[in-house]
Amino acid sequence: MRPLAWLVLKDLLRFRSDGRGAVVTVLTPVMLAVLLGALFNPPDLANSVGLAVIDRDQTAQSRALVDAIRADPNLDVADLPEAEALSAVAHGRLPLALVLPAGSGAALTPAAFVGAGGGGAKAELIFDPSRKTEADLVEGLVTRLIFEQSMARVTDPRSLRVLLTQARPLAEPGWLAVIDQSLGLLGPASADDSAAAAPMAIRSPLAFERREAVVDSVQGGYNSYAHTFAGMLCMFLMFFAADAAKELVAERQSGLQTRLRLSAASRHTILAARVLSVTLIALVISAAVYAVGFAAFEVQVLGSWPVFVLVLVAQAFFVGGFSLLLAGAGRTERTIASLGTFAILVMSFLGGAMLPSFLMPPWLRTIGHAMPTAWATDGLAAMTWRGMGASDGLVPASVLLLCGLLCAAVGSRLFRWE
Amino acid sequence: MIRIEHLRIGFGAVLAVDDLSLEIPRGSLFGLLGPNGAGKTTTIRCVAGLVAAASGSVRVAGFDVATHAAEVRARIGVVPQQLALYDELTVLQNLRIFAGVQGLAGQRLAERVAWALDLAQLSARADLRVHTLSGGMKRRLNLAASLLHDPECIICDEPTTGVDPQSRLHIFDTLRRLRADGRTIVYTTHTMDEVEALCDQVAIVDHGRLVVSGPLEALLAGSASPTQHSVTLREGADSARVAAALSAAGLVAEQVNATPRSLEDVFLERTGHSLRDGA
Repeated sequence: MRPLAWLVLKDLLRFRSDGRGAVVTVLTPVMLAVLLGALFNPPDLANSVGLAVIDRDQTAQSRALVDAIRADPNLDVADLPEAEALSAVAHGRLPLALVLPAGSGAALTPAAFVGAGGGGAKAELIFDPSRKTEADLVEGLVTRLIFEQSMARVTDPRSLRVLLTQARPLAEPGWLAVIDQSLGLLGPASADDSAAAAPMAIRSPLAFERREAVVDSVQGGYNSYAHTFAGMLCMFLMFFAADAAKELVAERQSGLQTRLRLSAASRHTILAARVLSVTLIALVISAAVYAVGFAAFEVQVLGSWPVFVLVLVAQAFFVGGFSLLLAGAGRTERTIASLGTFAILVMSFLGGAMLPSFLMPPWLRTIGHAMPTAWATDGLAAMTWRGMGASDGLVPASVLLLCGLLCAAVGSRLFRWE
Repeated sequence: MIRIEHLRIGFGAVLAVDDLSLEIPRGSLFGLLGPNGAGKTTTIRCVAGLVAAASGSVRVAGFDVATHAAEVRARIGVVPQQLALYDELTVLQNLRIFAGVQGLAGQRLAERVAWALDLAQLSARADLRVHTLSGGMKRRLNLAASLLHDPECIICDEPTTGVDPQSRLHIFDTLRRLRADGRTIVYTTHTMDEVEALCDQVAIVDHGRLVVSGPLEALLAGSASPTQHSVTLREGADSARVAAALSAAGLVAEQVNATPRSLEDVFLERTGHSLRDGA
């Protein structure tokens, strides 16, 4: 037992001795997790469509539309003079500008709904060529607002009377009775019918309410950083495993392993110590990376804390076993580097560690479940933002422990001492 | 201390050691010589239990290496040719780790580490990282790290490679002291004057076989001619012709010196002059 402890201590001291390397080992996954987290952060994507609105019409109707655009939570209107706004879009400082030309207000009146389509005014959407998606989004949102504004006016009783009176000469004979009956219901035109002037509300026949999915009554909260911290940690722990494998092979070439083999430690002890020390260091890295996630990026453990720790331990153990597998399969540092990079990138991609698996087609997701990385990211997601119960983390942890054991056993068989 | 009987070791079709029999007496300072690929390193690795024998037997202090590897490992210390040290750790950390891996603990571990620091004369540099040490210091540490478990038999594989004369002398003095304490030293090298300066027993192996073995003095005395002549000529001529030609052919020699016969002469006489690069 003592030789095992000394061998593990040796690896921990060596890891600590390279202070800058240790810091980079933690900083790299944190940095990539933050960048990718920001990229996939849904609130940022939906809330921050900035635009400038240029109202050349300056009528009550056009101003009402501008106010509605300002009030929309999905749009962020920049108050800029026209020339400055157009320059900002041209220079990529603002995604787009909406220009309401003269006559836009008239296009929003009830009269514009009668006859051959609108008043002829066309709003102009000027966008940065690299932000076409946001232009599509804004066009849809503004169209909805125009529709709401126009319909609100159309459904005002006084406006309806005007609309029906103007429409009557154009109507088919069969509709005349319906129009006359409607005009009768609206009553005679009055100079003082302010009570009836309030527009009728137009609602979608099917209303939507947004609600996040919850498991076991635990209110989860999707946090893209929780997703990316798990993925980047998994991927970079495997890169650390590849480095540890190269170190093991370098020890063989430097004669250090001969010295160790001549000691009281058996071959199994030497390899077990290696798996154990890589596991411990991987755990330290995991703790440091998640500490940053908890402190600065609102990553939370909404599931079970003990199972969350268990998943991290299982993932670290898998990394230890994977390191020995690479050392056994690779044999030389160069082979380990190329073999390791290939295996890590494929496993990270398919397992959803590099990019969220929901971006992949279903068949790739199915293949991905054969990867230990998928179990690691799923297990951590279950215990963090999904807020799932302990049992949802135990299965991934068990799979990772088994994978670690399997890798260690195969690696131990393949490892060449000479 | 070490008894090797009819040892055969093969790597595929290559027979590295071929029916080698050798006895290394307890308390001797034994020089094991051989050209590259002669089989001496393979023999040493077999004695240490790192390579299995195809046939024959190796016994260390009465223990068969094949069946009592742990007992043998506890009794031998191998000083590798490479600097088998953790460069990024300090001298003290290296020694503590190697002592711990040897199963030492507590007071015994502390005592042996202090002894090793003193032996390597690195007590003042105990907290320095190994990569900051000179080549000679690393060699001394490499030697001390192999002796932490107090082995009865020390096997040195070219332990003075790349060291300065002072460190070389220090290593020699250390080995003589260890031998004086009753330990058996097996010393392999290509440098003949090292063996002449250090060893009292010598064995020469070639092509995996023992060529000659015995006390150094007996080997040197057993040669046909106790001395040889060194002649510096103005013009080229092979040395076989010089003695006969000096008086008869009228060649003009600037200087003729008589020098004692060296171990290197014995070595070359027995193994030939051709290069032995590779196995």
